[in-house]
Amino acid sequence: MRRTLLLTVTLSALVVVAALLAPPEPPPEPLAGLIIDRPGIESPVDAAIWYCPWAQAAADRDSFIGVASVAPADANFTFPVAIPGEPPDEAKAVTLGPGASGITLSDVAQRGDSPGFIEFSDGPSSASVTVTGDVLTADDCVASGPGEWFFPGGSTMEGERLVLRLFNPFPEAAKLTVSGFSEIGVEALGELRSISVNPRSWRDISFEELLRQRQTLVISVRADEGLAIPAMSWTSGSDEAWWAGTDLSETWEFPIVRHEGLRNSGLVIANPSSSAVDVTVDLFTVDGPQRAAFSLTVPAQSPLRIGFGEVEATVVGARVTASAPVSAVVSAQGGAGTAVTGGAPDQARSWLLPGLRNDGLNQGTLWLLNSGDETVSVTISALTGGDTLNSKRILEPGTITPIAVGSDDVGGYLVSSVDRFGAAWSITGPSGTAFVAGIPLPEEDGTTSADGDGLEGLDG
Amino acid sequence: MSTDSSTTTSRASAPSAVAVVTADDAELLTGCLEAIGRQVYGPSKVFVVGGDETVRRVAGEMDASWRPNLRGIYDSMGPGIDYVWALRQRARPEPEALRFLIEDGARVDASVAGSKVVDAANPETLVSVGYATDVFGAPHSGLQAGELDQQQYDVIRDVASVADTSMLIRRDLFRGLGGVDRMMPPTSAAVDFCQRARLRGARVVVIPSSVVQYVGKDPSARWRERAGETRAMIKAYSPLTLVWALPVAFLVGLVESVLSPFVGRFPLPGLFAAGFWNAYHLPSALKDRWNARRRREANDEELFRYQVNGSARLRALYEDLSERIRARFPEGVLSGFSEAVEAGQQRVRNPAFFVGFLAIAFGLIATRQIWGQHLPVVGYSLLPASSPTAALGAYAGGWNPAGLGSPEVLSPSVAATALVQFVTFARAGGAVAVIIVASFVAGVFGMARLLRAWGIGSVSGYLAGVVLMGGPALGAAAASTRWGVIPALAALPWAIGATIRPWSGSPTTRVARAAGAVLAIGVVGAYFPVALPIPVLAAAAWVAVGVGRRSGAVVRAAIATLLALPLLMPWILYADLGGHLTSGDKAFWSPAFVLVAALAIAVAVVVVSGEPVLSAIGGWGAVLAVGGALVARLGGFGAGAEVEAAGELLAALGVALVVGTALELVPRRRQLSRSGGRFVMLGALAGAFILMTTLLLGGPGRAGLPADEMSGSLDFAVPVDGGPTRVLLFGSGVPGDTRELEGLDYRVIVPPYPTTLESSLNEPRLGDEALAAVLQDMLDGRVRRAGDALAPFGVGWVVFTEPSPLQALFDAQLDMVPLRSLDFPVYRNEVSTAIAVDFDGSAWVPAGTGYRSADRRQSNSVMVAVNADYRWGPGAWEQSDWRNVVAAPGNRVRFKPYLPRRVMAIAAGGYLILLLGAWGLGRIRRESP
Repeated sequence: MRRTLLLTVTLSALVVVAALLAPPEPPPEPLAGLIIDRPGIESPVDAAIWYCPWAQAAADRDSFIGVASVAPADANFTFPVAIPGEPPDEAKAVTLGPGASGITLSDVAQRGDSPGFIEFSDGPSSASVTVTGDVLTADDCVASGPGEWFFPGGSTMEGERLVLRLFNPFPEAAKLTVSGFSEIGVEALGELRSISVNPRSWRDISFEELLRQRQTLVISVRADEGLAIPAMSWTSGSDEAWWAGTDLSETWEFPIVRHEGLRNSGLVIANPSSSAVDVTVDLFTVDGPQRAAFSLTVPAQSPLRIGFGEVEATVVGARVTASAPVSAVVSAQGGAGTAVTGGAPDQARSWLLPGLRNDGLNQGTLWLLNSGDETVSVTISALTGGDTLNSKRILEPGTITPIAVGSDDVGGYLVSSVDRFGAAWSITGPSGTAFVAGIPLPEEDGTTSADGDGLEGLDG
Repeated sequence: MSTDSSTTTSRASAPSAVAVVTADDAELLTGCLEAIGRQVYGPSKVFVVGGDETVRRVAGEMDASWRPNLRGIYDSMGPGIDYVWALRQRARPEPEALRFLIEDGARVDASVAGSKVVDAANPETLVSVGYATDVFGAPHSGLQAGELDQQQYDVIRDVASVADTSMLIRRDLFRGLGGVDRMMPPTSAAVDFCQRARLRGARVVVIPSSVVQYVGKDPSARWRERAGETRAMIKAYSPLTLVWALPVAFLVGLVESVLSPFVGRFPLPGLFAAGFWNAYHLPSALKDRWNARRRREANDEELFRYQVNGSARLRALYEDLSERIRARFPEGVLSGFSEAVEAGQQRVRNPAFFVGFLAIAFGLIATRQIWGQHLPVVGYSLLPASSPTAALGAYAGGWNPAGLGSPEVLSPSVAATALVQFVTFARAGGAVAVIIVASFVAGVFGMARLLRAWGIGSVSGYLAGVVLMGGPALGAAAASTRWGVIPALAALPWAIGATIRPWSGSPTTRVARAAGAVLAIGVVGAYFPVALPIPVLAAAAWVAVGVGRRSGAVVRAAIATLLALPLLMPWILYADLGGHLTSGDKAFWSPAFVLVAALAIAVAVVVVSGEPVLSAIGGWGAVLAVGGALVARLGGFGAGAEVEAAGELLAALGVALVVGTALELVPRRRQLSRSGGRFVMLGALAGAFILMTTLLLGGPGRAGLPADEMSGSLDFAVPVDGGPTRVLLFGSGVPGDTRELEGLDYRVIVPPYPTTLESSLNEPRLGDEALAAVLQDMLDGRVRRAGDALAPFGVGWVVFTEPSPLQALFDAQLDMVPLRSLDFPVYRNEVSTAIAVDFDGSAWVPAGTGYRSADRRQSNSVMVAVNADYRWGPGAWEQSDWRNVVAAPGNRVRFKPYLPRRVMAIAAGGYLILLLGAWGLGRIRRESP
């Protein structure tokens, strides 16, 4: 009996203890607290990948792909071949730190369209493409992109050609939706909904047949699945312009909006939102700034073209300020060619301008805009394959300073200051004219890598 | 011995014969010589062969010549002798036996003639009228047990063999074959002699008119007869026949070992003993073989002529089993089960056999998916490596291939399973199936045997065994995917039974019992080391609550456990034992409330029943069950998954004990007091309820293991040609041990799925840290060519076992191709990679845990993408980052084993053989009369 009692008590105690044991803490959810957004095309600054959707090498034209880097870097070029199973064409260039370099596409592949991408081993870095030959067109490659790209500035009037290129350098097919609006309203582009772009390939969409006689056409591209990099090409007259799409911003700066021989120049502002947006345009002329030269309202889902033909002064640059995010480009056309490029959404303390050079009869020009009210002192470093040629300039407030490329050895520019300013470049020649925005360098701790004192090199 | 002229026929021109009697017993010899003396056709001489001084003296007294061996007879026969009449000392030939042998044998031109043998105690009962044999040399008499002689076999027939009780052999044949092999027991020696005779073209017949009575029973041990049969095969058969016949004979022996327990025999130790005996005596067998076959006039086809199909032993076993079934079931019951049910319980007088059969059937049903298809590949439920040699080599100081590899020790279950795999001809799935099915059967019978020691009936014992091996506690343990819990649990009742009972008897018996206990605990330790303390705990609990003589149980259990530890070398010395206790999901078993309630009812009924032994056992079981449940809930104190499983095993043991005692109360209820017996049926119901829950485990047929998750899933990643690549797996369904990336499980495996060699990952080494760094870089957005970054690790594929936000990182890579057509997210690495690559980029293929050139070309150097270790070779070794570069390796690279660990593993193997030998010797001595 005693034994039974003892056993019962023991068992009961064990049962109670077992029942009272608290369950352990559950393990944390995997990746708890970690937000992993679906990455876009962005890559780290010190190992950036730049995508160049528009490069061509054929019998009548060739492309120079210019690269520039602040740190010594290897640049590996890859040009996918749009034939499944075919290996891509590859090339390599090396830049000093800082320095500029580049390749001529025809040395690598001569098969017409050859969009590609460049992988840098260090940075910050940047790249641009200049197409010469029967046309002269240039613009920056892109290393990052918005969720939705906007392409204002094109038109499909008679004799013009507007082509949207969708470049997919990734191993998975991309699905994108292309939409647009123009001066007549939102365009019906149902057939361009969720269109597929094969892996490591590209697809061109011509709008001159789809949307004829549009004077101011704004195209937008959004990725539904996968990733792709769009670019727009506009052929008007004998020249061609290509430009990368823009995001939306409340401010846009254009250090260059006009050039000799480009009579019809102006800004194209696109408001994709469902509300009207008020915009104010400051102009920077050779005679000085004209603040709020234009104050306009852009209706919802509408473009607005602001021509400078009626402005009495010679307009060189412009700044757009909007009450809500808009997209804006400069579009210029004339006997000297056709030029379109996007603006810079903000000023910066350092700018890289890869590919800015003289190339035979084609003359490159650096444009620096000080849209503020204070004087800005800048250091201009001409990047070559060897030494860096430094010089200093003072930018008066509200002015644009053009600087012609002096040496044929120059392959790009690095411009820096302790203050914020804007930069762009142009190239002009017998075949046409091109405008290219500068590429702002990321800032760390409020300073630039040059810290306003220029880079080691030669002071020119 | 003098010949009696009144009874002797004149043989002036008749063939003459000498009688040769093999003897070792003087009394038996006397009777035989007297019978020879009464022959109407007397032999011209009588020889006695063998025996001691008394035999020799008896031979002399009866005028027979004594010789120590047959060789002495050849020289003493003298000329003019035509036949040798070989007799055994238990033979009592009737007066005309020799005459008929000579006359009828000569008439049919027989070279060997045998007599009809009847039982001396009952001369109407037939013992032998010649034998057929099966292909394995086992004799098949064709007689029913106790069959009466009604002259139904009285015709001279060619047979495969005659009984060596009385054989008339032509003298030249007798000499040419060297007589009967004295090393072999009688029956197999006769078969051997007749086979050799037939190879020489001799005719072997039985002469039924020659009748010999046989005194007593054949005393030779069964295992000796088996050994003799094998020796006869070795001597007679062609190499081509031996190649298949010997292995199949072994398999037949295994089958016999599985079924024989039903008839109270345990031939397994004898099977191995026969094998060892033949191995030891192989040289003499080969010498006799050469002698037998060099002058043969016939081939194996002649031997096959008088052989029965199949196995004579299995046939005899089947007949024995059938007889026992018939004896247990009254006439008519077997004709319809429904009639048996209607007939009522009282018609089933001894259901133990039936329940035992059902228990085995349950075991087969509960594991049918494993032996019928394959082991479910999920979690830690993994198949062994395809090569048991490679597995043993890896265990014995070799390379651990898990993840990016390391020299860390492997689990002892790898070695244990590899040993079984040799028996299944290297079939990995077969080995696991054998282990699991055998475990179920062994666990059931072990539990019955354990309870039988306290007088608990077989029915209750078998049912308790079913609860042990199929109950919810094992189900919970197996749900952790560690299939090693099954053999560990099966061995526990054997281990506990062997340690709770005193090691009494002769020294040999004591050693055998101790060895048995050590072996059983060794099985527990090999397959589930965390369960090693259970026998000691169980013994301690028994000492605390048990009845009867139980002192020393804890000491015996502790000694056996300590003695079992060397079996686990080298693992026991190098393993992270603490890690085993804390790794995995935290322990917290929550058994279903209804089961707890049923158990509580059963315990209460048993404890208050008043039956002292059953109460004690029930209380013991309750302590084990509750204690085990408590251990399985210690997750809050850091206990890991293996501790939970060990607690569940302990609980399973306890539950089985309680159920066994609760069910045993039913047949004993009339012996209980009024108060104690009042609730017996309630307790039995509770026990039956728990028994019913075994259906939950038996239903799926996976022995409690979860459903397969990996078989076939990664077949796409297996290269058709070229060297293998690794798969980087992410997600909760990753098999075996995993590493973590921000809480997300991952590891690398070689497709199609990892084996047991790869279940446990090593402590992170350089390569593992490098891979973790690459993955962290990806998380930080710093990598856009993940394929290029993962290629040095040999990763050709990235697979997510379930959708994960991490996929977004791989979607945006320039060199990882997503495959959308599969059931789960997969990314293919476009960068060419392999685990082992030589200097010109050719991938090397696996060779065990090493690698070799695919086309066996020599190479100058090879890069092996495993954690660097200087023992990779041959050739000069160099570390490249975290990998190995071996210069001038020839066409093979391998890991040079750690010699101390290899020695320890070999020592453990030798220790195992010693233990088996000690245990087997004890069994054999108990089996032999």
